[in-house]
Amino acid sequence: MSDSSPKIRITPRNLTARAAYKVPGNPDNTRLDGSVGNCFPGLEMDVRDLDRRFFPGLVFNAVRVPLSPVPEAPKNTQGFHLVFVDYMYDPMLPDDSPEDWVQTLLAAYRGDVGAKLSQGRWFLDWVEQGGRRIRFHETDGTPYDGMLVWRFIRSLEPGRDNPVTVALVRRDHQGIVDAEPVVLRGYRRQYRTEAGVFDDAYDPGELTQSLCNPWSHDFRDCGCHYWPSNHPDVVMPEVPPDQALPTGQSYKPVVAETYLDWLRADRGPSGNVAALNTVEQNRPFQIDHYQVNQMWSDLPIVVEGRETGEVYHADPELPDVEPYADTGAMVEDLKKRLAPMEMTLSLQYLYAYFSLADPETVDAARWPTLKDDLIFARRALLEVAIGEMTHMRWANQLLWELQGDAYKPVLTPAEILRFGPGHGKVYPRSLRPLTDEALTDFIEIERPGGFIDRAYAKCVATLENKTLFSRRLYALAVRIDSDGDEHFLRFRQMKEVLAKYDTGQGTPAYLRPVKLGTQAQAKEALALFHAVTDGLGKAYALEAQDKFTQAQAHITQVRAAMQNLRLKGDELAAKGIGIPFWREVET
Amino acid sequence: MTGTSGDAHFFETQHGQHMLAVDGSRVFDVPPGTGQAYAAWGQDERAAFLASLGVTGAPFIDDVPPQDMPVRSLSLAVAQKCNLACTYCYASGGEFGGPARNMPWQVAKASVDRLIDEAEPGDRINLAFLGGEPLINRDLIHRATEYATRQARANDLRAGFSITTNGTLLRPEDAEFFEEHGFAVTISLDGIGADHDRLRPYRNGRGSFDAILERIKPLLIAQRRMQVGARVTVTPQNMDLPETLDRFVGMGFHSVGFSPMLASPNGQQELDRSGLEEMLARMILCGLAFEAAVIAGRRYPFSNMAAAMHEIHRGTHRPYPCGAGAGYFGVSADGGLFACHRFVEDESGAMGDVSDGPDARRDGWLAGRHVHRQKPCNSCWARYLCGGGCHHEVIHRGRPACDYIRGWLHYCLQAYVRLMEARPDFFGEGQPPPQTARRA
Repeated sequence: MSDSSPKIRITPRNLTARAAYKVPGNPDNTRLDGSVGNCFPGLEMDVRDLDRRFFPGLVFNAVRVPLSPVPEAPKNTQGFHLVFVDYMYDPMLPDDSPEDWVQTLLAAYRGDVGAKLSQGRWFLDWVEQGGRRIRFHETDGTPYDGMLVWRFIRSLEPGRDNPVTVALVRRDHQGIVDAEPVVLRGYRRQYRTEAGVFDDAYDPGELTQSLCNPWSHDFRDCGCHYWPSNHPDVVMPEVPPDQALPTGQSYKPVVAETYLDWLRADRGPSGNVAALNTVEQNRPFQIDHYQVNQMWSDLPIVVEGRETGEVYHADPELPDVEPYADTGAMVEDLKKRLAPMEMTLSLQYLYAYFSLADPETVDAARWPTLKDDLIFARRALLEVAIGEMTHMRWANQLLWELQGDAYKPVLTPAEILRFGPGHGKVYPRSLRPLTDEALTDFIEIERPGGFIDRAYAKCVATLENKTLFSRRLYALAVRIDSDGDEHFLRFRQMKEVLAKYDTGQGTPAYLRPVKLGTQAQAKEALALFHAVTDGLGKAYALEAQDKFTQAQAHITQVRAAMQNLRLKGDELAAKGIGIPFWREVET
Repeated sequence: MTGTSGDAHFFETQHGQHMLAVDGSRVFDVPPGTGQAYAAWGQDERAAFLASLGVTGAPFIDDVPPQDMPVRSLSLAVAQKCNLACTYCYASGGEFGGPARNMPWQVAKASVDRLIDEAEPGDRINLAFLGGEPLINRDLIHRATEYATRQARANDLRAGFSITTNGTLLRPEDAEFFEEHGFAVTISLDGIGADHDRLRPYRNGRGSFDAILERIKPLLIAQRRMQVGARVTVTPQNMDLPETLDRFVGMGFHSVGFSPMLASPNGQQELDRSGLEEMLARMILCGLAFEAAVIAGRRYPFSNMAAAMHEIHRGTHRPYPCGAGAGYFGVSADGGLFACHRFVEDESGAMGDVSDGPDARRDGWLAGRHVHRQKPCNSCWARYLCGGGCHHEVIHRGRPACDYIRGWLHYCLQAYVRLMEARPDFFGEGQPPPQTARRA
């Protein structure tokens, strides 16, 4: 610390330190009305209530433009709306006051002005102070929103030197002014007395009249969306630890996909049925008002979108994963094993994708649900294939960050797949249709804690060292390492959905008969594929040098090539030809 | 070497480096090396540094003395005489240099009335009985206590009582009375056996230790609402603090505290520089025993340490060392009002009489005794934890013990961080550690 004004990090320890430590808070220009709670009936006092009696004898509400007015509602209801005239016990207006302005106001309220104001809907039209008049409507006559009016009212000065003149107008059902304005002169009320207590003008409870009762009834019916922003409407059910994937999701695809209503009344296993689409549909199954009062503390804590039981299980410990001996060893493994593995997986899945039948041409009479299921399976399989390509990109990113100038893009598929502890077990790569057998293998490959999952565990363990590596690299490795759960679930779903079309006789109905083609048959598709790998190679190399704009040009081309490859692949598959992304080794 | 100045004090523990921001007694963790850097900086750089941390701003304590404070606590010198002849007594044998006498009922009643008059419903008032040896005037204690209890109840106040006694005159029935009224009973014990006897003999020269132990037994057994504490005045002749502490804790005292002998009317038994250094070393040994006990989850009522831990945790920052002359006064046997029990019959702390309440001298006292007006306190990092040192000692002997106080507070700050790490539950935070994780 040689600098004279160093920015250092200090941690407050004792109570005064904690209380006085200035945390970064709202910016200086934050307004009182900037918080949802401050100017809305809700959790906190609606500060606008302080100014509802700003003028002696009158009580206003600050009314906002309605969000979704019913068509028959009166128009132009926004602004400072006069609720009633209340001069009888106003401490600014004692009967025996010698002040002219007080007696004038009292006479007006008791006489024709009071009678006039009691008919129809009256709004504040302008205020004047110190020779300046502020009108509360646009030039076309549209009244200002109550919030805006309130801001002006707040700026009025109190005190004997600062008389205030106000004008009220009546608006009819169409929102048109339909009577002569009422003009009154007086002084602005101070809501606090000299002694620092609230002025007697406010009735008991008046300032807090808008407070809600959030932990009871309003928990269901909160209108300011305070609770909806803090409590979930739908959640994933609690997952027993032995059924949880490393990400905490359920092992069971159906459970992992089913959202429950957090407020469901039936909290037993029988209540674990999927929430319906709208609040209204779910209402009958939710705890009722009287139940909320008794049960709110039973509602489970929700972490990461999932209900938790007594104990929240954070990311489970990695089982005995040793870091690489050195960075060189990690680079070598990423280059030789991990990045090529992603490429291989991606192509295997892509090949399987093309083997799925065209949803538009299936035998809908025999298999009424097949079309929908195929649409699902094709989309899911493509997602997984793209996921693996993303991993490949991340693996390359790890490489270029670690290698610097020595980096060369890795875009060659691995010849073998090797997973598992020690030197791992070898699995042959293979381009094959999405048969039940292939699907089972895919599930095994993607099984959490199994083959591919934890392939990056050593990278994570190595990059965890804060002194040697930037946290960004570590985060990236963690992301690849934990991204596999989704793939596993997708394949499990596919298996469940597609199993019924496999009768055990001949090609299942969801497949089309695709056989590995020759280089010549798939010439165009392979050219497109090479365009993809070439483009990616160039893009990665540029990104490695922080030349993102130039890289983007290549990425755009790659995307176009991918689109064409998909069309070409479908075209070939329709003819029973599979794209030979690599030359298959005979086994 | 860690940096220090009037605005910040740096200290280290095994958990890293820490900083006491003197203003507001705020404790922070800071990166290693911060204190060293701070020590090398000039005043402007230091100010810029503290501003960058956000610990500057309106000071927690300004220069304005408190005004019109209600009188909350009075100590009554109910008997200005004593049956012991302690060598260093601030009251010179109980008589404060004047004639031996008992406080009459009118003065005690006027004292209670003063407390009642100045309190608002819900307040707590405190009545302390001192001497001399207060139990010489037992009847007055009973009468004043019962009167105060009645008056407090009638006025919706809470009354607390305390007594400081040499213990030699205690009777079994005292235990009952003190328990009934929830007394804080402080027994002056200056060591174990012969140590104590040397310092606190009867007037005939005989030792008092064994007799006192016998007499306090019923109190130690009876204490529920009552709290019986031992107070040890440390002189060059009773330095065995860890042993004394252990022994007294073992005897069942609710608290045990030490204070150094700094100013006696005749200069006897005062601690000099090397004596204070020795005492500091022993105090720290006691403190370490306290830390070990807290970590092990065991009660160890070493009151100096317990008070320091909670004051540091709260960030206590005081412009005065105590409430003397503010909310607290000593009342002499004839009704004179003094800054505290030690100033009884001492013109330098006189502030009127109890019937009329504190006079104008009190404002002068509070203005003059403010720690900002004390040199060299106003540039000392420990000023708001210490408050400037006991007025009585400072006025009569100066400040010989500053290094001792700073040394003790430095240690306490370190201990605070250690305990906060090991046992946040001691400070009412976090959970106690599981049994297996406990360190002995």
